[in-house]
Amino acid sequence: MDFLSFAFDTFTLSNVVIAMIGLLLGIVIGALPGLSSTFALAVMLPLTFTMDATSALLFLGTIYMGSTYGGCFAAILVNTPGTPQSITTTFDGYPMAKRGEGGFALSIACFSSVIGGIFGIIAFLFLAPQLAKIALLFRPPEYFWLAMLGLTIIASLSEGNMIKGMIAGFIGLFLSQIGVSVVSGDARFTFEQTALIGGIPFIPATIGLLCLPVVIDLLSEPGHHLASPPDARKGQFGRAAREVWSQKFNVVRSSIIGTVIGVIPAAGGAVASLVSYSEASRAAPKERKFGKGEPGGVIASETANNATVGSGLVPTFVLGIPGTPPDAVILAAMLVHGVQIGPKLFTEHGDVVYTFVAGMLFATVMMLPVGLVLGRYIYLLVMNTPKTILAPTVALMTLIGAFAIQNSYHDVVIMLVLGFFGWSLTRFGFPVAPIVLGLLLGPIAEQGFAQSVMIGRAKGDIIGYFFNSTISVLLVASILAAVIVPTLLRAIGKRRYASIQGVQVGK
Amino acid sequence: MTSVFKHTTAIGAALGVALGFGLSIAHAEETYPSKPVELVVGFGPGGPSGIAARFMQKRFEAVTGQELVIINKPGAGGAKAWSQINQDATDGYHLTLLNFPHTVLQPIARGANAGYTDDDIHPVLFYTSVPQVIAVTKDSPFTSFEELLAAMKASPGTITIAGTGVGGSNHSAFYKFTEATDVEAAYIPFKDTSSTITALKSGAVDAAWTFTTQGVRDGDTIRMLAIAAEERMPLFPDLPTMTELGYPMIDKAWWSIGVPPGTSDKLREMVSATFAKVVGDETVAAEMETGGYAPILVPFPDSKEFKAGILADYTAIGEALAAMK
Repeated sequence: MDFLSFAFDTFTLSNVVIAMIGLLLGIVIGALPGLSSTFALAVMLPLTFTMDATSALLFLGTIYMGSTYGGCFAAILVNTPGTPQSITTTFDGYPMAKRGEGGFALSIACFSSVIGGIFGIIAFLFLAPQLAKIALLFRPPEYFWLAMLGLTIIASLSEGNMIKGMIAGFIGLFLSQIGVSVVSGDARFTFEQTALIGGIPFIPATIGLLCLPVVIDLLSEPGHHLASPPDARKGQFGRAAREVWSQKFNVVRSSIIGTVIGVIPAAGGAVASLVSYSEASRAAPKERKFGKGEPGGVIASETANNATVGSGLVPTFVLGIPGTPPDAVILAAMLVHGVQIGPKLFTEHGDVVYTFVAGMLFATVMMLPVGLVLGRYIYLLVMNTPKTILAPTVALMTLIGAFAIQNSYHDVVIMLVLGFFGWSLTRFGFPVAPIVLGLLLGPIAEQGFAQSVMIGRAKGDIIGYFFNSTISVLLVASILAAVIVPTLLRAIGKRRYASIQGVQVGK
Repeated sequence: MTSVFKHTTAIGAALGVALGFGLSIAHAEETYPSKPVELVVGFGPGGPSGIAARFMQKRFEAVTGQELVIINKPGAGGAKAWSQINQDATDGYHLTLLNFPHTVLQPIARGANAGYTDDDIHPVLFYTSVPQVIAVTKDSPFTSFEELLAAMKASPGTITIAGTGVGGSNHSAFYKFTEATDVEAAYIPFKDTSSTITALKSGAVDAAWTFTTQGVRDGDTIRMLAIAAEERMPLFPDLPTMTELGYPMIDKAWWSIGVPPGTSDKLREMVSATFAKVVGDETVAAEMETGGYAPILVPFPDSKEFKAGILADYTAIGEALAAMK
């Protein structure tokens, strides 16, 4: 077939070098807190102007893949998503590292990322036309319900204290309302401050909320940053491989969820790993404690976010609509390089597409040895670095990360304010992750809702418009299942517990 | 001997550095640009603004010998970037891409909450524009402008038309369109051009006001019905103008390089001349044209008058859009 003949063209020395440099650059940038994949691609884009179109795409694509994976380092070791896609990785990755299983978590993340990454690329290669249709099934009501489904995960994140979790979620939703509204043009809660006009910037906010409390704890609490049990130093490759294999259903489900959500325009890896995590936690048996350092959480998050890299290219290449936020840069590169986008791309520019895909596959496979080795050394480095060096280094990285995205001092101030706010909340037992979810999903939910109401009003049936597609109904059913089933189970459980107690009291 | 030689070279080097430093200050303005130039873009990298900037970036270094650093600062329909202009250094190295008519419409519509005022907006080189088009999907029941209009007349207010943002250029085109045709329709705003086009292609909306750049990119899947330009574009010879169809309206978006208020006239001229050289480069102009842009060239000081013209044309529309809320 076409693909194989072009695949051999990929393995020219220059393409292999470009793919490896892109991969390493991506992993490093992704690993640094705050420097997102979109940022990495935008900064590197000018370097591609001297390359031909295929090499340019390959360079950017491998940076994207590398950075999506690289985000897990900071997520697992210092609770800071290196990229937005790895937010969910912090939920279980950091607790694992805390108790001395950081090396194990990093190896799991590496295996999962490689599998998810390959899955997404293969899906792009063979199913692009079919997947492109999924992209167009998502209209404003479906976006609204998708965001709602994402928000239900707050329930599983705040096990034990639902009220506090919900309050944190609403704080996040409130913060997401600040700034000029897309649908009305009104400036909300900006108090005529120019710093707030664009809203709360997502990446600096995430760094502040998730990482600053870690820095403060590093300074204020005695003991080591990460526990180091005697076997922590050993390579954990075999154990990680066995763990991933034992959770193959989770891997497959997360790959599929990542692939599908990657196709939905503008949803992206952060939403994909969130939904995949939520499904994994729901499907898992009770004894697996998601959010408390469950390897399955890392698997779900890392598999799904890397799967979006390949599948996000589907709408980008076929429809000219970026599938994920970093794809917008790839799209810009294609246009500036004069690569015409559309279904014809695969037939008329087959050389570009297939060489690119083969190069991406090569880089993703290479991520395994590179990642496992790199993961081991970075882990040992973080574990062996004394707190007196680690704390200021991480603190400095949070400042740089918050500033670099848009060269903005305002963002640094917002990061610091939210950081101390988040830290104070954790003192009172509030989880901060729901705030991040509210910030991420709030705008998707709000715009989807307002646009649905406007369209529904024009068509004369507002309520009906929210339920008039199969996807909407499926999403609503999933939301109901996510909200009602656990409550029902708990109620039944309680009654049983009560009846047992009653029997005992009766005795 | 050698030590003396060393000594003198050291002094010579020190003198040279000192001299060079003095000279570089004295000649900073003569040799613009002598270091990388920053250009802030108020939208994401994949949309019409991001790409309008990238086309320049591609040739900037070859023409000027310095790098053009693009910083995408999306938010509030571009206002996040524009609200920072008056804090930038006035040295010619901190520039902002200005979108028109956005920068004219927003301060009118949002007042004190716009984050900037008309006084902060100083274009020094209008370099490209895109006419707006009304488009439907290829499989839409509407194959011509007349068919769409007939449907709108048959049931006023039920046809949904997407556009990017509130108080931006698509919104203004929608407003002019409903005024010119005297029919009602529902305007549905989206976050950016990608989302607008997604909404159109997914069938969530019946039509969209968007830019000719999308006609180039999405020619396989969308059908443009009319263009709001003075005359037909060479790229789309079969696309009728609104005026030809009997509903005279012209609406475009323009891009200009912007400097912070307080920048000297001399520096404005230099920035303008430098960027004019870049966009005047044959490849840049050709690539922009095939990309669906309509390049123009209005350098400083004519750019002042050009802006005043846009302000005059759009003030009433801005007030009408603000009143519609």
